[in-house]
Amino acid sequence: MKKNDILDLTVCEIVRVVRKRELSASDILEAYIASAEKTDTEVNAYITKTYDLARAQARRADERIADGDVPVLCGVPFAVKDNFAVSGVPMTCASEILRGFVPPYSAAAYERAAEAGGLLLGKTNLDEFAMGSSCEKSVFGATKNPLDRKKSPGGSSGGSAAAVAIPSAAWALASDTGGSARQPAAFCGVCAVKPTYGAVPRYGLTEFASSLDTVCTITRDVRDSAYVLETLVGRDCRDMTSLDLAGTKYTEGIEDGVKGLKIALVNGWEDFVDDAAVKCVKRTADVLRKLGADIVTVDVPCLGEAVEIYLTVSAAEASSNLARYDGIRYGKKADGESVAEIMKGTRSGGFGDEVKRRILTGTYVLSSVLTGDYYRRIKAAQAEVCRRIYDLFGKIDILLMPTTAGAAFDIGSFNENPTDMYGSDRFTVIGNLTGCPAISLPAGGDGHMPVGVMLMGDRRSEPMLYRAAFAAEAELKEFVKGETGNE
Amino acid sequence: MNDNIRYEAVIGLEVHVELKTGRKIFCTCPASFGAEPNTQVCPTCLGMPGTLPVLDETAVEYAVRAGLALNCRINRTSWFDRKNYFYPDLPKGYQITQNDCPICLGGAVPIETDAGKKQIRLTRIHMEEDAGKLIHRGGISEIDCNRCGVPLIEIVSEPDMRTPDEAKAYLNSLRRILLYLGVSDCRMNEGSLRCDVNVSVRPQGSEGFGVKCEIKNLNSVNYVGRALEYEIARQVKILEEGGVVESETRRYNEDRGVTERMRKKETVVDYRYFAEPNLPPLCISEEYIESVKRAMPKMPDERADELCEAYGLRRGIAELLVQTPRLAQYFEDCAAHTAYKTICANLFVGEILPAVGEECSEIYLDPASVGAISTLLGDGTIVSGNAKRLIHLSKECGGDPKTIAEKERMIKITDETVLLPVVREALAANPKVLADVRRGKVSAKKQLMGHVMRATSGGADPILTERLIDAVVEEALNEN
Repeated sequence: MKKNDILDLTVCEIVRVVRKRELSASDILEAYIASAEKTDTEVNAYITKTYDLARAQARRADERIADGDVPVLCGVPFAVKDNFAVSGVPMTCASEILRGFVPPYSAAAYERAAEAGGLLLGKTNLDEFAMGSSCEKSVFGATKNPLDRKKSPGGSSGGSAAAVAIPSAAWALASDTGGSARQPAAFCGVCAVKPTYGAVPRYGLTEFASSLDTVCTITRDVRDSAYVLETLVGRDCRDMTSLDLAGTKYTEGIEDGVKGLKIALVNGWEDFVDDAAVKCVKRTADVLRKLGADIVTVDVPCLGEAVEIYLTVSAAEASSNLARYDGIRYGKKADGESVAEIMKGTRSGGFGDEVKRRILTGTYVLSSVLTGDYYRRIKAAQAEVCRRIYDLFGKIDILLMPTTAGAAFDIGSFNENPTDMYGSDRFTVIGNLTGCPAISLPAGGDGHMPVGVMLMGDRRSEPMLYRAAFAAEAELKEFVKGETGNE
Repeated sequence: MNDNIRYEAVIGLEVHVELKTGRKIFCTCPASFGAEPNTQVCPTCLGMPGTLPVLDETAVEYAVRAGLALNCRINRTSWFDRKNYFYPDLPKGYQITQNDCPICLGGAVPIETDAGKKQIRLTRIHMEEDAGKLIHRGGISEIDCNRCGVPLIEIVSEPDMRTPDEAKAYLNSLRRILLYLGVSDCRMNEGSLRCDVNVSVRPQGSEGFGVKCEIKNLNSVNYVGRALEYEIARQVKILEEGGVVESETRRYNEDRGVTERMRKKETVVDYRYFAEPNLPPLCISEEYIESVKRAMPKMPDERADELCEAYGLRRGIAELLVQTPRLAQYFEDCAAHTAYKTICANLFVGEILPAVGEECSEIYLDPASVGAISTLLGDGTIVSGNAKRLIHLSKECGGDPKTIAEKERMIKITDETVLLPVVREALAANPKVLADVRRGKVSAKKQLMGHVMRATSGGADPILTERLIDAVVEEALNEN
């Protein structure tokens, strides 16, 4: 098999050829390393490459294969967003403030992928501390969209999405606090799942907003998504918010179709998106109807407020979560005559503008002296959104929404008004505010760049979401091919 | 100014108690006192990115135990909050504590002072993690994170105390209960029990509260008393001179015996509290509470009742024996070795307790020996005057107390034929006694008793000796 053919294989296909011993883990790895080396100077998907570690893991995988032990991700090269800890490998969160920090522990999600035979190619670029939607706000420079390098790959998991799209990783670990995995997946024409809050343990994922942070995967297609997620879910004793889902088989029944499922469009959703997104969502609805789903329209009377609630809650938690970066114990440390000077200097020089904006916002909204019970009222509003969405899922099975307002924007689009970018999370944040799972998959394009649609269900409804996404994907593939790649 | 106004103090205490679960509250690091700096740490208690708190169940059990013993209401659902502030000994930049909804509400601590018995009501008990320690030396500050994440409960009293004595009694009572519960070492000198005091003064009989000051970090019960004496006098003086007490945080200077201002409390510190998103609400079921209740160690009152009943002791003696669980256990171990329980109790209170103290951190004399000496006393083998010496010798030399008593001629001499010559000899050696008695000074006979006791190493049966002295003196008087 030629190197380029290797790169055409999905995760499920790689495991199949490795199991049949048609290719070794090392063969697969070297094809991916070559691809990363060829593309990354331009795309800048990776912050740190870990080829030595990957080669050692490949040797170990090949030994296991020789012993007849072929674990589920054996020989599959993957990438990890650089806000997950991998023991012995620098973790930067794309921030100056963590320069030089090497964690002595590994994230639970990484451990599970590595124990399942995965090969870590490297740590991918992101917006600093996962705050952003363009992957430009990185101290290591912007990641470019591999489909058009003038375009943003989306963010914050832009490096992970770009690596999977190239491909310079067969799949990638990402995180999603308000859309950070789904939006870049949509911009890069790949698939992302944001599972139920707590489905994949967060231990080792650098906190942005703990109550919203969700460990996600970015994969080339829906089946890979279901397959990889099976390996990652389940309770970890180091994360008290993780759910007991171990052993759930998302690939089982994935081909069972959508007959009888009640799938709903949101009243008035078109007002928030461009023509290409309207076309793609309507097309997906048509496809699902044709496959036997019952397509209805429902009111979701919180689309307007959701982003504001999200921004407040996430900024509040971020202001607290990022207080630990004070230069005292690890990471970058500024000089100073007093503790206050050291902390001030470290934080002023170590954080970028977007992170500072969120910390300031969060500190303000949490201050009872300045804002009274503002934060409490926002949390009450969030509880109301949850109540309405959970009620809705008593009546329908799946919400069908656009992932984003349109296809990828140009790099630098929001330089003038950085907060304008916040609105692009309108649809995705609902999943984070409610803890509900959602899958984004490509549904077409604007003639040049891909456009994604999103299926969202009640908590723990991933098996049903995968059925619907898998069914739709098969019908949508041709449209994606036809509507992307032209200048 | 009004010379007739008398003032009273209003005192409330905030007590931080380290739970001796042996490990930290949110990670599995050991939590022992005095280890080399930064050797009991892990990524979680150092606040490294991506690490998460996992609540230790034993810490919860201990907090519930304390709550039950102090008659608190145990909240069936409580939760943890973040208290945000920057300080170099606080690795995460926030402390995980319980602000909005603590694990225990209400409750009371019983106290007894010269003024009588009283219940000091509690506001709440909440759980939290400790911060690290700063060590300053030679212009350099170093950080020891061993204490980061050590489990604490904070016990907050209502402002129910009126005198330094009551505050001291409150601390002693609370300490005794917590020691009994086995939830803490309560060593104020090692910081496993730390006390902040809030105090204000007001005209006696008034219902309102004066402006209060907080005195931080008092590390002994006596300092609490002395700091309060000073602070109350200071505030009264200010008021008597027509001044106004300022709300401030003060510290007690142990060397000078005064309280000193640390900082003014001008504004409320803005800790930006919010619910800790990494910990689910702490739910406590009825079954759980029942199971904690079943496993509860006995409380001092209950133990005193037990000792009274089992050994026929007077309540006053029993109360002395149950000051700490270790002391009570030591006594019971001794009592197991003798049939003379009340004698053993008296001996223990008189001779052993002063030596070991209520802490009873070590055994003074092995229980079998204490029991054996009690038996020697009880069956009349030795006289009570020799008990102290026998205890001392048994501790020094070791071995069977009875053998020591025999060797040291402490065995009670009840044989008249042995004693009579000694008494005669005593009289012969003290001729003046006879003359004194003749003049009507009967108490002079005591000199003879002393002589006999010295001659027999205290072994002479005092009653028999007295009878023989009377007889011999009578006989001599008659002879002349």
